Amino acid sequence: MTAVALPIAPRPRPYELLSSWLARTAACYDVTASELRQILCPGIRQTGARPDVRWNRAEASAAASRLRIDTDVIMSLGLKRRWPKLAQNWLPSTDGTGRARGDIDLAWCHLCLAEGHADGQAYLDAETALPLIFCHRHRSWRQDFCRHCRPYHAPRFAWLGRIELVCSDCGVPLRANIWNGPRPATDSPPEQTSEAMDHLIAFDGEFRRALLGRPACLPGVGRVAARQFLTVLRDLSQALLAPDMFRSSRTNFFNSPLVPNMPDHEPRTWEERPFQELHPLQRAHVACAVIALLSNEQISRLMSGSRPVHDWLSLEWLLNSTPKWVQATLIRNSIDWPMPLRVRVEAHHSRTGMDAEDILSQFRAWRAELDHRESERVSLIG
Amino acid sequence: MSDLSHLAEDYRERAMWADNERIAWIRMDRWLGFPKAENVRTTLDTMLRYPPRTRMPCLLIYGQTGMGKSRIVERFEAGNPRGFNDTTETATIPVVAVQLPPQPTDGEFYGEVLEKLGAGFAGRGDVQRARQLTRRIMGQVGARMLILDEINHMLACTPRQQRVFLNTLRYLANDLQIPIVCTGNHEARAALLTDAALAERFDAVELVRWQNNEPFRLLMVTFAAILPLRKRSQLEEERCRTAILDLSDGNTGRIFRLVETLAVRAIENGAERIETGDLDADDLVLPSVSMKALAQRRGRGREKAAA
Repeated sequence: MTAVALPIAPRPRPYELLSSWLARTAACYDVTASELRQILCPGIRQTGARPDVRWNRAEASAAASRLRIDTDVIMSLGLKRRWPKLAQNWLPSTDGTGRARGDIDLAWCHLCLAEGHADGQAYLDAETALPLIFCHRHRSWRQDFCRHCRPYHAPRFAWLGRIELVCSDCGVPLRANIWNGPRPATDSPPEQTSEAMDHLIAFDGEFRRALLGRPACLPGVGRVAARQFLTVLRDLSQALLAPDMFRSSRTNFFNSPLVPNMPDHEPRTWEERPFQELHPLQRAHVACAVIALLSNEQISRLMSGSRPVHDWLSLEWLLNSTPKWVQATLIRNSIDWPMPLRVRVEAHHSRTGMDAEDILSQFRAWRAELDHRESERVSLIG
Repeated sequence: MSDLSHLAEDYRERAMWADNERIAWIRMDRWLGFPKAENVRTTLDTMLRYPPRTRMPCLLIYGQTGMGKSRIVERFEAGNPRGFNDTTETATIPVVAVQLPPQPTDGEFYGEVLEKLGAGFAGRGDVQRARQLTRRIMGQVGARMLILDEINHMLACTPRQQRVFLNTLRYLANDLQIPIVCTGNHEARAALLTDAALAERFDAVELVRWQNNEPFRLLMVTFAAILPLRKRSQLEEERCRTAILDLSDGNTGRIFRLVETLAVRAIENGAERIETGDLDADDLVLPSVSMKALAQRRGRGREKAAA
C-alpha cells in the first residue's frame, strides 16, 4: 500500500532547524513532532537522538514522499550538513539528561519569530540549536522561557490561525513575548554598560565561530583554533562553576554590569554543569567571567564589576583561589590551551610545585568513597 | 480478417486481441455515460461552482443498490482531481468523497473524512479535536463539495445517534458553506427527511430502473459497439433487450455484469457474438444470486404460461 500524502505540508525555510520544521508540520495536525515521525515512517526505528543531528536517510525519504518534498531538501536541514565542522558535543542534550524540557533545546529570538510570522509562519532557525547568548542578526538576547509565566513545559508550535511558537503553559505566542534582556546595573554608566555589551556580543560571536569549527578570537590571546577556544571555555567555565565544600563557587565573585545581582551559584552535587547546559542568562554570566579572566585589567574589571580597590579577577586569581583539585584539573587540561595561556598556567604550576595527577587521583578516590557512602545511605529507601 | 464494421472505429483493433486479453478488458471497470448519470454529473458540476452562501444547496442521489450511485461519485471525484499548491503549502482537494462507516457515529464520521483528506492519524479518540481538525483542514485544502456515499449506513445507529449525525451534517453544511451530496437507498431518503432543516435544503434525484425504451436501446447499441466480439451481436434486438431487462430487473449493475458475462461466454465458446438465445442457455452462469432468483421466477412464469 502506498502511503497517502499529507494534505498540509509546510515547506522548510532555507535556514530552518529540522526539528522546527517537523514540529511545525506536526502542529498542522495537532500531534507532537515525535508522533509525526512515527506516523511518517512507522516501520523505521528511531534512534532517539534529535533529528537535527542524526536524521536517518530512510526516515527522511519516507517523510519526503508523504510531504511532497525532495529528500535532499530535508537532508540539507541537518546541522551536520549545514555546518560540517560543527562541534556536536557542544549542543545542549535533549535526551532528558540536560536542562532541555522537550525534543528541542530552545533559545529563541523573538524578533526572528516575529519576522517569520510576518513572512507566513513563525519558525526556529538553525542557530536556535546552538548554545548562544545572543541572536547575532538582531543583536538581541535569546530567551528560553516564557516571561508571562514560569512554564513547566517546553514551548511548542500550535495552530492559531497560522502556525505559532507558543508557551505550552499559558499559550502566549512567543514572538509577542518581548524580553530585551536583563536590566543592567544601575550604578554602571551607560557607556560602560554599552562597552561591556560589545565585549559580550563579540565573545558570543567568536564562540559561534568556534562551534562551527572556524578559528576564533579568544580575549587577551587573539586568534586560536576552534578546538582550543572551546577547550579554554569548557575548562574555565567548569572551574568557575566547580562546587566547593566550604565556599560558594568562583562565579559568584563576578558581578558584571550586564547581568548584575545574579543569584549565587551554590551547587549541591559534584555533577559538572557544562556551559551549553546553562540557560542563556547564566551563560552570559559565565561568559562575562571568562572574558574577565582572560582580558587585560581594564576590560577584566569592566566585565567582572570588581572595583579598583578589590582584586583583579584574572586567570592567576582563579588559579590561586580555586580548590586544589580544580587547579590540578586546569594544569592537566591546559596542555590543549593556546601557548600564552599555557605559559601562565605553567608559571602557577612551577610556583606551587603541585603534583596534579596525584591530587586528581586523591580527589577521585575521595569522590568514589563519598558516592559509595551515599549509595549505602539511600540503599534501603524504597 | 473478419468484418468488424459492427464495432466503433476505435474499438476494432481490440477485437483482434488474444482471447484472454479481450476477457480481461471486458472485466475491467468502465463508465458508459448514460443520460441519467450524465444529468446527475451536470447537476454536481453546477453545485461545485456554486458561490458560498449561508444556505448551500445539497443533493441526495438515491436509488436501488447497483444503480450506479457510487460510480457516479467516483467518476465525479476523478474528474476533479487533487493537486498541491506550493504557495499555500497545502493540497487542493475540491471534492471530498467519503463512504460512511458501517456505524457512523460522529467520531467515526470525522475520522473517515480525515482519512480521506490524508490525515486519518490526527484527532484519533477525541471527537472535539477531530471536528476542529476536519473543519480546518477542509477549509485549508479548499474543499468545495463533500460527498457522503452510503448514507443509509446511518440507519445502523440508534435513533439518538442518527439525530446527532444529522445535526453533524447540518453543522458542516452551515460551517463550511459547501454543498453536501449524499447517496443512498430509499430508506436513506426517508431518514434524511426526518430532519426538517435538512429536508428543506436537500434536493433529491432518483436513479430509476431501466425501462425498455430509447435510452436502454442506446445503452445496448453502445455495448454492441465496444465489446470486442468479432461478430455482430443481437443486443439491440427487442427480444434480447426484454430478456436482459427481465433478468436484471432494470438494475444498472446487473445489466453491465450480465452483458459482460455474455460477452465473455461468447469469446470462450467461440461464438463471438451475443444472441437472444444465449440468455436462456443452460450453461449460462448468471453473475449474481439475485439474478438467479429472477431467472427462476421468470422460468416458473414461463412454465405457468405454457401450462
